[in-house]
Amino acid sequence: MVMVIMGILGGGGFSLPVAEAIEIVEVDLVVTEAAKIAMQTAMGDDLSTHALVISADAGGCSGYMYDMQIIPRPLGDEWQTVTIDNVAVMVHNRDSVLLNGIQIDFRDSLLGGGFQIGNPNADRACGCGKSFG
Amino acid sequence: MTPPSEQEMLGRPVHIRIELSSTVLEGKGALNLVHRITTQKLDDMQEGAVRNTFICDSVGRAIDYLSVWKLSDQILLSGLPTSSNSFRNILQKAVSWKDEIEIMIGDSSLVNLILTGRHIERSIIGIGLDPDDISGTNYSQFGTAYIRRTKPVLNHSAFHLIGPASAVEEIEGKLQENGATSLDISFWDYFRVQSGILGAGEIDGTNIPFELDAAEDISLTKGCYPGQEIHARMESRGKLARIMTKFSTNDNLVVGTHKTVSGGRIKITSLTSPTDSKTETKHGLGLVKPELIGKQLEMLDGSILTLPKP
Repeated sequence: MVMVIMGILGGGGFSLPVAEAIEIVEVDLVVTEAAKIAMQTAMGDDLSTHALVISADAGGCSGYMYDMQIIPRPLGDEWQTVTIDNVAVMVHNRDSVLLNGIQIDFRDSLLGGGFQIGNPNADRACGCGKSFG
Repeated sequence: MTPPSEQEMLGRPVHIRIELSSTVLEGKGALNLVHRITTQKLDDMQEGAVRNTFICDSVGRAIDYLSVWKLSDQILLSGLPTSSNSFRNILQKAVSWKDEIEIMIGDSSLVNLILTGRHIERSIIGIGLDPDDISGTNYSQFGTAYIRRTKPVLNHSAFHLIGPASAVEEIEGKLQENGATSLDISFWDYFRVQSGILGAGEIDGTNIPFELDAAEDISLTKGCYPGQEIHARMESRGKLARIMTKFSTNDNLVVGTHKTVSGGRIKITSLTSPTDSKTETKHGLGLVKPELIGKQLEMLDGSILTLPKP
Protein backbone atom coordinates (compact mmCIF):
# COMPACT_ATOMS: atom_id res chain seq x y z
CA MET A 1 0.00 0.00 0.00
CA VAL A 2 1.32 3.39 -0.87
CA MET A 3 0.59 5.98 1.75
CA VAL A 4 0.14 9.43 0.36
CA ILE A 5 1.34 11.97 2.84
CA MET A 6 -0.53 15.19 2.52
CA GLY A 7 1.00 18.54 3.19
CA ILE A 8 -0.11 20.23 6.35
CA LEU A 9 -0.96 23.39 4.47
CA GLY A 10 -4.38 23.56 2.97
CA GLY A 11 -6.45 24.70 5.88
CA GLY A 12 -5.16 28.23 5.55
CA GLY A 13 -4.24 30.43 8.47
CA PHE A 14 -0.52 30.30 7.85
CA SER A 15 1.43 33.48 7.74
CA LEU A 16 4.66 34.31 6.04
CA PRO A 17 7.36 35.64 8.33
CA VAL A 18 7.91 39.35 8.14
CA ALA A 19 10.55 39.89 5.49
CA GLU A 20 13.87 40.75 7.01
CA ALA A 21 15.49 43.88 5.63
CA ILE A 22 18.76 42.86 4.02
CA GLU A 23 21.68 45.19 4.58
CA ILE A 24 23.59 45.78 1.38
CA VAL A 25 27.10 47.20 1.10
CA GLU A 26 29.32 47.78 -1.88
CA VAL A 27 31.64 44.80 -2.02
CA ASP A 28 35.37 45.22 -2.12
CA LEU A 29 37.66 42.21 -2.56
CA VAL A 30 41.36 41.84 -1.92
CA VAL A 31 42.94 39.25 -4.21
CA THR A 32 46.56 38.09 -4.17
CA GLU A 33 48.57 37.56 -7.34
CA ALA A 34 48.50 33.79 -6.80
CA ALA A 35 44.70 33.88 -6.53
CA LYS A 36 44.38 36.04 -9.67
CA ILE A 37 46.39 33.48 -11.68
CA ALA A 38 44.36 30.61 -10.24
CA MET A 39 41.09 32.40 -11.09
CA GLN A 40 42.14 32.95 -14.71
CA THR A 41 43.26 29.34 -15.02
CA ALA A 42 39.96 28.14 -13.58
CA MET A 43 37.92 30.33 -15.94
CA GLY A 44 39.75 29.04 -19.02
CA ASP A 45 37.92 30.04 -22.20
CA ASP A 46 34.81 31.18 -20.35
CA LEU A 47 36.13 34.57 -19.29
CA SER A 48 33.63 36.54 -21.36
CA THR A 49 30.55 34.48 -20.60
CA HIS A 50 31.00 33.17 -17.05
CA ALA A 51 31.64 34.56 -13.60
CA LEU A 52 33.25 33.34 -10.45
CA VAL A 53 30.45 33.59 -7.88
CA ILE A 54 31.44 33.71 -4.23
CA SER A 55 28.70 32.96 -1.70
CA ALA A 56 28.20 32.53 2.03
CA ASP A 57 26.01 29.46 2.65
CA ALA A 58 24.51 28.68 6.03
CA GLY A 59 26.17 25.78 7.82
CA GLY A 60 29.67 24.74 8.78
CA CYS A 61 30.96 24.82 12.33
CA SER A 62 30.73 28.56 12.72
CA GLY A 63 27.49 29.43 10.96
CA TYR A 64 28.45 30.10 7.34
CA MET A 65 30.54 28.34 4.71
CA TYR A 66 32.23 29.85 1.70
CA ASP A 67 31.19 28.60 -1.70
CA MET A 68 32.83 29.40 -5.05
CA GLN A 69 31.26 28.46 -8.36
CA ILE A 70 31.98 29.25 -11.99
CA ILE A 71 28.61 29.73 -13.65
CA PRO A 72 27.17 31.67 -16.61
CA ARG A 73 27.06 35.30 -15.50
CA PRO A 74 23.88 35.82 -13.52
CA LEU A 75 21.77 38.81 -14.48
CA GLY A 76 19.89 41.17 -12.23
CA ASP A 77 20.27 44.19 -9.97
CA GLU A 78 20.83 41.97 -6.96
CA TRP A 79 24.35 41.11 -8.18
CA GLN A 80 27.57 43.04 -7.71
CA THR A 81 30.53 42.48 -10.00
CA VAL A 82 34.17 43.11 -9.17
CA THR A 83 36.40 42.65 -12.23
CA ILE A 84 39.82 41.30 -11.39
CA ASP A 85 42.24 40.90 -14.32
CA ASN A 86 39.29 40.30 -16.70
CA VAL A 87 37.68 37.78 -14.35
CA ALA A 88 34.15 38.75 -13.30
CA VAL A 89 33.86 37.94 -9.61
CA MET A 90 30.24 38.25 -8.51
CA VAL A 91 28.62 38.48 -5.09
CA HIS A 92 24.88 38.50 -4.39
CA ASN A 93 23.62 41.51 -2.42
CA ARG A 94 22.35 39.10 0.22
CA ASP A 95 25.95 38.05 0.96
CA SER A 96 27.52 41.49 0.58
CA VAL A 97 27.83 42.28 4.30
CA LEU A 98 29.37 38.90 5.04
CA LEU A 99 31.82 38.94 2.15
CA ASN A 100 32.83 42.58 1.86
CA GLY A 101 36.58 42.98 2.34
CA ILE A 102 37.49 39.31 2.14
CA GLN A 103 41.06 38.49 1.19
CA ILE A 104 41.35 35.74 -1.39
CA ASP A 105 44.59 33.85 -1.67
CA PHE A 106 45.56 30.65 -3.45
CA ARG A 107 47.85 28.03 -1.97
CA ASP A 108 49.38 25.45 -4.28
CA SER A 109 49.58 22.49 -1.95
CA LEU A 110 48.37 18.90 -2.09
CA LEU A 111 46.98 19.07 1.42
CA GLY A 112 44.83 22.03 2.39
CA GLY A 113 45.56 23.79 -0.88
CA GLY A 114 43.28 25.80 -3.14
CA PHE A 115 41.60 29.13 -2.59
CA GLN A 116 41.95 30.47 0.95
CA ILE A 117 39.67 33.18 2.26
CA GLY A 118 40.42 35.53 5.11
CA ASN A 119 37.40 37.43 6.36
CA PRO A 120 37.68 40.61 8.44
CA ASN A 121 33.91 40.40 9.20
CA ALA A 122 34.25 37.02 10.92
CA ASP A 123 34.25 36.83 14.71
CA ARG A 124 35.39 33.25 14.48
CA ALA A 125 36.38 30.61 11.96
CA CYS A 126 36.55 26.84 12.17
CA GLY A 127 39.76 24.86 12.01
CA CYS A 128 39.42 23.88 8.36
CA GLY A 129 39.05 27.53 7.29
CA LYS A 130 35.93 26.90 5.26
CA SER A 131 33.47 28.11 7.86
CA PHE A 132 33.09 31.46 9.59
CA GLY A 133 30.60 33.29 11.68
CA MET B 1 -12.65 16.74 48.73
CA THR B 2 -8.93 16.53 48.05
CA PRO B 3 -8.10 17.02 44.40
CA PRO B 4 -6.24 14.13 42.79
CA SER B 5 -2.44 14.23 42.67
CA GLU B 6 -0.54 14.55 39.42
CA GLN B 7 0.36 10.88 39.68
CA GLU B 8 -3.30 9.99 40.08
CA MET B 9 -4.15 12.18 37.10
CA LEU B 10 -2.17 9.81 34.91
CA GLY B 11 -4.05 6.76 36.19
CA ARG B 12 -6.26 7.17 33.13
CA PRO B 13 -5.74 8.21 29.52
CA VAL B 14 -5.33 11.95 29.15
CA HIS B 15 -4.72 14.50 26.43
CA ILE B 16 -3.12 17.87 27.01
CA ARG B 17 -2.80 20.79 24.63
CA ILE B 18 0.77 22.00 24.80
CA GLU B 19 2.35 25.09 23.30
CA LEU B 20 4.92 24.60 20.56
CA SER B 21 5.99 26.78 17.69
CA SER B 22 5.18 25.53 14.18
CA THR B 23 7.23 26.51 11.17
CA VAL B 24 6.67 25.06 7.72
CA LEU B 25 9.31 25.12 4.99
CA GLU B 26 8.45 24.60 1.39
CA GLY B 27 10.63 24.52 -1.71
CA LYS B 28 13.68 22.87 -3.17
CA GLY B 29 16.50 22.36 -0.70
CA ALA B 30 14.37 22.95 2.42
CA LEU B 31 15.40 19.71 4.15
CA ASN B 32 19.03 20.23 3.23
CA LEU B 33 18.93 23.70 4.73
CA VAL B 34 17.68 22.38 8.08
CA HIS B 35 20.25 19.56 7.86
CA ARG B 36 23.10 22.06 7.45
CA ILE B 37 22.22 24.24 10.43
CA THR B 38 21.15 21.64 13.03
CA THR B 39 22.79 18.81 14.97
CA GLN B 40 21.04 15.73 13.58
CA LYS B 41 21.55 14.03 10.21
CA LEU B 42 18.40 14.92 8.29
CA ASP B 43 19.31 14.88 4.60
CA ASP B 44 18.33 11.22 4.21
CA MET B 45 14.85 11.60 5.71
CA GLN B 46 12.06 10.05 3.67
CA GLU B 47 8.39 10.99 3.65
CA GLY B 48 6.83 9.88 6.91
CA ALA B 49 10.01 10.25 8.96
CA VAL B 50 10.32 12.41 12.05
CA ARG B 51 13.51 13.22 13.97
CA ASN B 52 14.60 15.47 16.81
CA THR B 53 17.41 17.94 16.37
CA PHE B 54 18.96 20.93 18.09
CA ILE B 55 19.83 24.26 16.61
CA CYS B 56 22.92 25.52 18.37
CA ASP B 57 25.11 28.58 18.34
CA SER B 58 28.73 28.36 17.21
CA VAL B 59 29.90 27.38 20.69
CA GLY B 60 27.44 24.49 20.84
CA ARG B 61 24.75 25.91 23.13
CA ALA B 62 21.19 24.85 22.36
CA ILE B 63 18.99 27.64 21.01
CA ASP B 64 15.98 25.48 20.10
CA TYR B 65 14.97 21.83 20.18
CA LEU B 66 13.00 20.82 17.10
CA SER B 67 10.97 17.91 15.82
CA VAL B 68 11.44 17.69 12.07
CA TRP B 69 8.51 16.08 10.24
CA LYS B 70 9.20 15.17 6.61
CA LEU B 71 5.96 15.64 4.72
CA SER B 72 5.64 15.10 0.97
CA ASP B 73 6.69 18.53 -0.19
CA GLN B 74 7.00 20.39 3.07
CA ILE B 75 9.08 20.24 6.21
CA LEU B 76 7.25 20.84 9.46
CA LEU B 77 9.37 22.04 12.36
CA SER B 78 7.90 22.10 15.83
CA GLY B 79 9.98 23.80 18.48
CA LEU B 80 9.75 25.65 21.74
CA PRO B 81 7.62 28.80 21.63
CA THR B 82 10.16 30.67 23.74
CA SER B 83 12.88 30.03 21.14
CA SER B 84 10.86 30.60 17.99
CA ASN B 85 12.04 34.16 17.31
CA SER B 86 15.73 33.23 17.62
CA PHE B 87 15.26 30.09 15.58
CA ARG B 88 13.30 31.79 12.80
CA ASN B 89 15.83 34.59 12.65
CA ILE B 90 18.60 32.03 12.06
CA LEU B 91 16.46 30.19 9.53
CA GLN B 92 15.67 33.33 7.59
CA LYS B 93 19.33 34.37 7.43
CA ALA B 94 20.28 30.86 6.37
CA VAL B 95 18.23 30.97 3.17
CA SER B 96 20.67 31.64 0.36
CA TRP B 97 20.12 33.30 -3.01
CA LYS B 98 20.43 29.76 -4.43
CA ASP B 99 17.41 28.51 -2.49
CA GLU B 100 13.78 28.81 -3.42
CA ILE B 101 12.47 28.22 0.06
CA GLU B 102 9.38 29.71 1.60
CA ILE B 103 9.15 29.88 5.38
CA MET B 104 5.66 29.89 6.84
CA ILE B 105 4.53 30.31 10.42
CA GLY B 106 1.77 28.02 11.60
CA ASP B 107 1.61 28.90 15.30
CA SER B 108 -2.00 29.99 15.16
CA SER B 109 -3.09 27.27 12.72
CA LEU B 110 -1.61 24.13 14.21
CA VAL B 111 -2.41 22.63 17.59
CA ASN B 112 -0.21 20.22 19.55
CA LEU B 113 -1.53 17.48 21.82
CA ILE B 114 0.25 15.13 24.17
CA LEU B 115 -1.58 11.83 24.64
CA THR B 116 -0.47 9.85 27.65
CA GLY B 117 -1.59 8.19 30.89
CA ARG B 118 -2.60 4.67 31.82
CA HIS B 119 -4.24 2.79 28.94
CA ILE B 120 -3.77 5.63 26.46
CA GLU B 121 -3.28 2.92 23.84
CA ARG B 122 -6.92 1.88 24.31
CA SER B 123 -8.12 5.39 23.53
CA ILE B 124 -5.85 5.52 20.50
CA ILE B 125 -7.23 2.21 19.24
CA GLY B 126 -10.70 3.61 19.89
CA ILE B 127 -10.13 6.50 17.49
CA GLY B 128 -8.99 4.11 14.78
CA LEU B 129 -5.20 3.98 15.06
CA ASP B 130 -2.94 1.09 16.01
CA PRO B 131 -0.45 2.36 18.62
CA ASP B 132 2.01 -0.36 17.59
CA ASP B 133 2.23 1.29 14.18
CA ILE B 134 3.24 4.62 15.70
CA SER B 135 6.94 4.98 16.34
CA GLY B 136 9.31 7.68 17.45
CA THR B 137 11.02 7.86 14.07
CA ASN B 138 8.04 7.46 11.71
CA TYR B 139 4.81 9.30 12.25
CA SER B 140 1.33 8.12 11.32
CA GLN B 141 -1.20 10.24 9.55
CA PHE B 142 -4.67 10.60 11.00
CA GLY B 143 -6.80 12.66 8.67
CA THR B 144 -4.95 15.93 8.37
CA ALA B 145 -3.07 15.42 11.65
CA TYR B 146 0.18 13.58 12.38
CA ILE B 147 1.07 11.51 15.41
CA ARG B 148 4.37 10.12 16.69
CA ARG B 149 5.55 8.34 19.82
CA THR B 150 7.61 10.46 22.22
CA LYS B 151 9.57 10.03 25.44
CA PRO B 152 7.41 8.32 28.11
CA VAL B 153 5.66 10.57 30.62
CA LEU B 154 6.05 9.23 34.18
CA ASN B 155 6.54 5.74 32.69
CA HIS B 156 3.39 5.92 30.59
CA SER B 157 3.51 5.71 26.80
CA ALA B 158 3.24 9.15 25.27
CA PHE B 159 2.37 10.45 21.82
CA HIS B 160 2.66 13.86 20.20
CA LEU B 161 -0.13 14.77 17.81
CA ILE B 162 -0.05 17.87 15.64
CA GLY B 163 -2.64 19.10 13.22
CA PRO B 164 -4.90 21.90 12.10
CA ALA B 165 -7.04 23.26 14.95
CA SER B 166 -10.35 21.91 13.59
CA ALA B 167 -8.92 18.41 13.08
CA VAL B 168 -7.39 18.32 16.56
CA GLU B 169 -10.63 19.48 18.12
CA GLU B 170 -12.41 16.59 16.42
CA ILE B 171 -9.75 14.14 17.62
CA GLU B 172 -10.06 15.45 21.18
CA GLY B 173 -13.79 14.72 21.03
CA LYS B 174 -13.16 11.19 19.80
CA LEU B 175 -10.52 10.61 22.47
CA GLN B 176 -12.98 11.63 25.13
CA GLU B 177 -15.58 9.27 23.67
CA ASN B 178 -12.90 6.60 24.16
CA GLY B 179 -12.18 7.24 27.81
CA ALA B 180 -9.58 9.98 27.69
CA THR B 181 -9.75 13.12 29.80
CA SER B 182 -8.59 16.58 28.83
CA LEU B 183 -6.02 18.04 31.22
CA ASP B 184 -5.04 21.67 31.52
CA ILE B 185 -1.60 22.73 30.28
CA SER B 186 -0.65 23.62 33.88
CA PHE B 187 -0.16 19.89 34.51
CA TRP B 188 2.23 19.51 31.61
CA ASP B 189 5.14 21.32 33.21
CA TYR B 190 5.01 18.96 36.18
CA PHE B 191 4.80 15.86 33.97
CA ARG B 192 7.55 17.16 31.72
CA VAL B 193 9.95 17.90 34.57
CA GLN B 194 9.25 14.61 36.30
CA SER B 195 9.93 12.81 33.03
CA GLY B 196 13.10 14.73 32.16
CA ILE B 197 11.57 16.21 29.00
CA LEU B 198 13.34 19.35 27.85
CA GLY B 199 11.54 22.67 27.97
CA ALA B 200 12.17 26.40 27.83
CA GLY B 201 14.23 26.40 31.05
CA GLU B 202 16.72 23.94 29.62
CA ILE B 203 16.80 25.32 26.06
CA ASP B 204 17.66 28.92 26.82
CA GLY B 205 20.87 29.33 24.82
CA THR B 206 23.18 28.54 27.73
CA ASN B 207 23.30 24.73 27.85
CA ILE B 208 24.92 22.18 25.57
CA PRO B 209 22.82 19.20 24.35
CA PHE B 210 25.27 16.65 25.82
CA GLU B 211 24.68 18.20 29.24
CA LEU B 212 20.93 17.79 28.69
CA ASP B 213 21.15 14.02 28.21
CA ALA B 214 20.36 14.41 24.52
CA ALA B 215 23.38 12.81 22.82
CA GLU B 216 21.07 10.76 20.59
CA ASP B 217 19.96 13.95 18.86
CA ILE B 218 23.49 14.84 17.81
CA SER B 219 25.27 13.29 14.84
CA LEU B 220 29.02 13.59 14.95
CA THR B 221 29.35 11.81 11.60
CA LYS B 222 27.15 14.06 9.47
CA GLY B 223 29.80 16.76 8.98
CA CYS B 224 29.93 20.34 10.11
CA TYR B 225 27.08 22.29 11.67
CA PRO B 226 27.18 25.29 14.00
CA GLY B 227 28.54 24.06 17.32
CA GLN B 228 29.94 20.81 15.91
CA GLU B 229 33.56 21.52 16.89
CA ILE B 230 32.57 22.00 20.54
CA HIS B 231 30.34 18.91 20.54
CA ALA B 232 33.08 16.77 18.97
CA ARG B 233 35.57 17.97 21.56
CA MET B 234 33.17 17.19 24.42
CA GLU B 235 32.44 13.75 23.02
CA SER B 236 36.12 12.91 22.59
CA ARG B 237 36.87 13.98 26.15
CA GLY B 238 34.26 11.46 27.30
CA LYS B 239 33.50 13.43 30.43
CA LEU B 240 31.03 16.20 31.13
CA ALA B 241 31.59 19.04 33.57
CA ARG B 242 27.88 19.08 34.44
CA ILE B 243 24.81 17.02 33.63
CA MET B 244 21.07 17.41 33.94
CA THR B 245 19.32 15.87 36.91
CA LYS B 246 15.87 15.82 38.40
CA PHE B 247 15.53 16.97 41.98
CA SER B 248 12.90 17.51 44.62
CA THR B 249 12.67 20.00 47.44
CA ASN B 250 10.24 21.20 50.06
CA ASP B 251 11.96 24.57 50.30
CA ASN B 252 11.45 27.78 48.39
CA LEU B 253 13.98 28.09 45.62
CA VAL B 254 13.91 29.91 42.31
CA VAL B 255 15.29 29.19 38.87
CA GLY B 256 18.96 30.21 38.67
CA THR B 257 22.33 29.16 40.02
CA HIS B 258 22.60 28.29 43.72
CA LYS B 259 25.67 27.43 45.77
CA THR B 260 25.84 24.56 48.23
CA VAL B 261 27.48 24.76 51.65
CA SER B 262 30.14 22.32 50.49
CA GLY B 263 31.22 24.56 47.62
CA GLY B 264 29.25 22.88 44.83
CA ARG B 265 26.52 24.48 42.78
CA ILE B 266 23.32 23.66 40.96
CA LYS B 267 21.86 25.59 38.07
CA ILE B 268 18.10 25.16 38.41
CA THR B 269 16.53 25.30 34.94
CA SER B 270 12.92 24.31 35.72
CA LEU B 271 10.93 24.23 38.94
CA THR B 272 7.31 23.21 39.31
CA SER B 273 4.91 23.83 42.12
CA PRO B 274 2.61 20.95 42.90
CA THR B 275 -1.07 21.37 42.17
CA ASP B 276 -1.51 18.43 44.51
CA SER B 277 -2.54 19.71 47.93
CA LYS B 278 -1.36 16.54 49.69
CA THR B 279 2.28 17.45 49.34
CA GLU B 280 4.47 20.52 49.32
CA THR B 281 7.21 18.82 47.41
CA LYS B 282 8.36 20.70 44.35
CA HIS B 283 10.17 19.03 41.50
CA GLY B 284 12.69 20.49 39.17
CA LEU B 285 15.45 20.00 36.65
CA GLY B 286 18.94 21.35 37.07
CA LEU B 287 22.56 21.00 36.04
CA VAL B 288 25.18 19.75 38.47
CA LYS B 289 28.61 18.17 38.48
CA PRO B 290 28.19 14.41 37.86
CA GLU B 291 29.63 13.53 41.29
CA LEU B 292 26.66 15.24 42.99
CA ILE B 293 24.06 12.94 41.42
CA GLY B 294 22.20 10.87 44.00
CA LYS B 295 23.14 13.18 46.86
CA GLN B 296 21.25 15.54 49.09
CA LEU B 297 22.45 19.11 48.66
CA GLU B 298 22.32 21.72 51.38
CA MET B 299 22.27 25.20 49.90
CA LEU B 300 23.78 28.33 51.45
CA ASP B 301 20.31 29.58 52.44
CA GLY B 302 19.57 26.30 54.23
CA SER B 303 17.36 24.82 51.51
CA ILE B 304 17.67 21.10 50.94
CA LEU B 305 17.56 19.49 47.50
CA THR B 306 17.36 15.76 46.93
CA LEU B 307 18.88 14.43 43.72
CA PRO B 308 17.67 10.93 42.82
CA LYS B 309 20.12 8.18 42.01
CA PRO B 310 20.48 7.57 38.26
